[in-house]
Order: sequence, then C-alpha cells, then structure tokens
Amino acid sequence: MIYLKRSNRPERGKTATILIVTALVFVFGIGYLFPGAYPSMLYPVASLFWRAEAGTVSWFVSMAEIVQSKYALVKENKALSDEVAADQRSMLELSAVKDENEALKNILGRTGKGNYVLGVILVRPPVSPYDTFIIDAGTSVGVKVGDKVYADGDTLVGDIVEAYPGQSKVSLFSTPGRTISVLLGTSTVATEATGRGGGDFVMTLPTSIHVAVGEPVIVPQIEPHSFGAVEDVSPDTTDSIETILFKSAVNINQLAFVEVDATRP
Amino acid sequence: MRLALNIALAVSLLFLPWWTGAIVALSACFLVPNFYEVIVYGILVDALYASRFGEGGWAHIATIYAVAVFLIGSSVRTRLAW
Repeated sequence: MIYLKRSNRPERGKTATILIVTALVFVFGIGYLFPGAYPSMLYPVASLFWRAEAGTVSWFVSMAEIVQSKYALVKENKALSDEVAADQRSMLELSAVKDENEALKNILGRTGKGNYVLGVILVRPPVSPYDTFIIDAGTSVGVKVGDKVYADGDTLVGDIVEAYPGQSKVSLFSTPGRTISVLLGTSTVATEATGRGGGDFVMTLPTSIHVAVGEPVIVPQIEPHSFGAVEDVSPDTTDSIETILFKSAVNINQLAFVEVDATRP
Repeated sequence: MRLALNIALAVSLLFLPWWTGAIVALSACFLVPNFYEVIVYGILVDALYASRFGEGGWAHIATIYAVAVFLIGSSVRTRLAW
C-alpha cells in the first residue's frame, strides 16, 4: 500500500501554540499571584508618557486660547468677573460658618485637621475602564493604602488601593457595585449609597422618609465632607420604596488634582 | 498591519478611552491571524487600572474580554473567505 507522507507543518504550529498559551498563562499567573509586580514596573515608564501627554494637551489648549477672538475674551472676562463677585459673597458666609464650626470642635477637642498631599491625576475614566485614577503621589511622599482622597478641597471621591514610590491608584467610591455609608439631607438619615460609575450613585429608602431634590449627601466624619446632592427621586410601583439618584459634588472628568489625606498612621 | 495594530493598542491603552482599545482589539483579532498579543494587552489594562472594587470585586474583566475576542475573532476568521 502507498501512504502519503504526513506534513510536519501542523505539528510545528501546534507546538508554537502550546508555547504561546503557556507563556500567556505564565504572564497572567504572575499578575494574579503578585498583583503589585506589573504596576510597580509599568507605572514609572507609563507615567513618563502620561506626563508628556498632559504637557502637550496644555500647550494645544493655550494655543487655542491665543487664537480666540478678543470680543469673546472680553465677554468671558465680564461673565467671570460677575461670577467671582457672587462667589466672594458666598465665601464670606461660608468662612464665617467654617470658623464657627472649627471653634466648636476646638472646644470639644475634635480638630480633624489632616496632613494633605496634593496629587496630579495622570489617568482618569474613561481611559481607565475601572473608575480609578492614577495619581503622581506615592509612598515617597507619605501616601498609603487606605488613605482617603478628596477633590476641590472638600469632596470625598475615593481612597488609595495601591501605592508605589512615585504613583498611586485611587478607587473611586462611584465604582459600580461599591457601597459607602452616607448621611442624607438635613435630617441626616444614615443609609448606604451604591456606585454606578462615573461619579453617579443610587440608594433606596422608604417613601416615609421625605427626600427632596437638591438635598446634600455627606459622609459621616468629624470633618464635614460633602459627597453629592440628590438629583432624582422616583418611588417604585408599590409606593413603599423610593430610588434616589445622586451625583458626586465634583465632575470627575474635569478634575486635574486631588488631595490625599495622609494623616492616618 | 500587525505592528500598526500593536502601536494603536499601546496608544489606546495609555491615552484613549477604554472603548477605543476594545474596538481596536476586536478589529485586530479579525484582521490578523493568531493575534495573541491582545491577551497581553488585556493583562496590562487590568494591572494598570483595575481595583478589587471592580465589578463584583473581580479585577480581570479586560483579560476575559481579550481572551473572548481572541477566540471569537480567530474562530470567525477561519470560517470566512477574505
């Protein structure tokens, strides 16, 4: 009988596939067993690109501003001046309330002053698919895992989940499925808010607790930190439970800096 | 083509919204035979950006997506005439 000689090409292909799959499983295994291994190697390199990108973007923005018409600039200047005047009036009231609050805490021996570290945001959603920030402050400036992260000075946005010498990863409280204890409104109803991604939250409460749109949501800490404001209240079909939607007090897509409270030992 | 898609994926991973990288990865698996690199990109995305608070506390969604698009892309590619 005559048999056709088998080609060894498919065998070679199979061996290569097995080798590649083994290598991929090995790469995944390292990342799974040692979660800090890849970030500690990648962040120093990647942050060079992120910083370069931030510089390039700001150059383009400044060039775009230069070519804006003078008329538009004058108009914007007038609008901003009016806004500043209004803000200054509000700030006067706010600083008086803050001073009073501080004085009361000093009397009670609860100061709540922290050691804040400023961090530049290198990466934010939607580049990060996980509702996380990468910031340029790390263990070298005292940042630790678990430190709380604030934006615009007063708004709690997340906490540090990984810290490396030059960079840290911040997990936002709005990560889908993540829960946080909050106080709602002036009645300070304690409840749990669940993240929905992108700075949005949801919570459910009995309809007997009357919640109005615009009511503040705060985090129960000695230092009062704003968290968000109620945007929508919708009762369910049975009218016994209502779903409350609220947004973070800051727009996480517009933030450039955050403050890390590195007070905790 | 392979090199260009690798560069596009690297740029997406560092600078562009995550869904851009997802689309490039899907396209690459259809266009290039055995585009194994996509799984490495998935692992890198998880290493760079994931937290334990990710969907259900599971921080390997990008890796799963990469394996899925690789398998689907390769399987569809072998059944199509170009």
